[in-house]
Amino acid sequence: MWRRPNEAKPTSPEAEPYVAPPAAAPRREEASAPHAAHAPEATRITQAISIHGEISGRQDLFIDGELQGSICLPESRVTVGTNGRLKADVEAAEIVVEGHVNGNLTAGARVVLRRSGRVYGSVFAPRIAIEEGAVLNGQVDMARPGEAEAPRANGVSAPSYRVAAP
Amino acid sequence: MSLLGKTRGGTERASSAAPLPKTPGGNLRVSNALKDFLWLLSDVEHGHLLDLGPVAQSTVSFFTERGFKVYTEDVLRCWQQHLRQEEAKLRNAPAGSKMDLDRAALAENFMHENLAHPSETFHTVLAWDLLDYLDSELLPRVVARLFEILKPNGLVLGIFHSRTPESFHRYRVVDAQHVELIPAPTVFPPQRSLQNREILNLFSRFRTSKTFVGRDQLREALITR
Repeated sequence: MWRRPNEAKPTSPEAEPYVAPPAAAPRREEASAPHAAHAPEATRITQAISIHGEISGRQDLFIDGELQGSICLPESRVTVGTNGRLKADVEAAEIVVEGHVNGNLTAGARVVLRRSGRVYGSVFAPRIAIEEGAVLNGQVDMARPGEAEAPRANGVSAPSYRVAAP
Repeated sequence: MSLLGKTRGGTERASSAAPLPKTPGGNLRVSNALKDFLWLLSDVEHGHLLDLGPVAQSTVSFFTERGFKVYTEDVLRCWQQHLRQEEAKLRNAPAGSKMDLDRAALAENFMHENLAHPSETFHTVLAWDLLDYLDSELLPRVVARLFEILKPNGLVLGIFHSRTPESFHRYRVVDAQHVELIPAPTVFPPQRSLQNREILNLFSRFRTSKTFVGRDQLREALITR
């Protein structure tokens, strides 16, 4: 009746912890913590800095300043801090928004909108976490790659949300 | 899709006696309109849904799991921002300059920048109780825009207060039978309590409507384009 002490614990698919996709596997799980992006190796753009242009590379990025342009860090995590103001499309493995983003977010792993986050644009990610109080005006698309909807017969592409001024 | 062609048997209706899911501090209500709404949408594949309330994780998850593309546009908050921007423009305008700040012009300008989707984009719109809070100039414009952006036979799920609500709520779908009302800071005071006839007049271009009266002073309406 009782399980023997050395008996292996039964496992089931439901009981196993979630394993992140390979691309996101090395990512730190503290991503779920509110201020996790302050990891030492992350490049930081602080509140006093304003950037116009494109950012690309492989390192994690924390933005608490202003940025107008685009961010392409497909293997990294991008965090927009509470003071961050972006007018940019962001592509990354993981995107955490605590500030304002005026643009589209595309994440390979997931997008997290904190309660202070404001996104005016569309979100494309296989997983999306939205905290109470977050603002999102735009499309949420959680389709996996290859599941994208075929173009419409009349030639009208899927509606792209027109970014409104926050 | 042929939403109007559907007939349903008594056994298809989900039981309203289902146990209430547990939510922290939530104000759950059984939503008969939601049940019909989901049933009418059950044939839709890769549907497009527009949520006009504040974004809610559970609502997004609920519909994306069912294959919908979800769009969120918090119209009331956008209207609030629009008014603030216009007020700021007025304050910063040079003396003597003319600015059109009558409500009709404000509403018209707002519609140029919001709910700006291609016609016949959406299979359904979650309007919640938005229409009770909209400015009288904005209300008919929003309803007209909903007609434009909905596909033929598309559905609007609306909630109308029978009495002036005492507090502002956000809404979110908890499961296929329940909607949660979450108290939230008031964005705008309620503008009206529409009577059934007024609702019908407001949606006169739409084909059908069905109203569900609750015991909590809320009337749910399913309106078909």
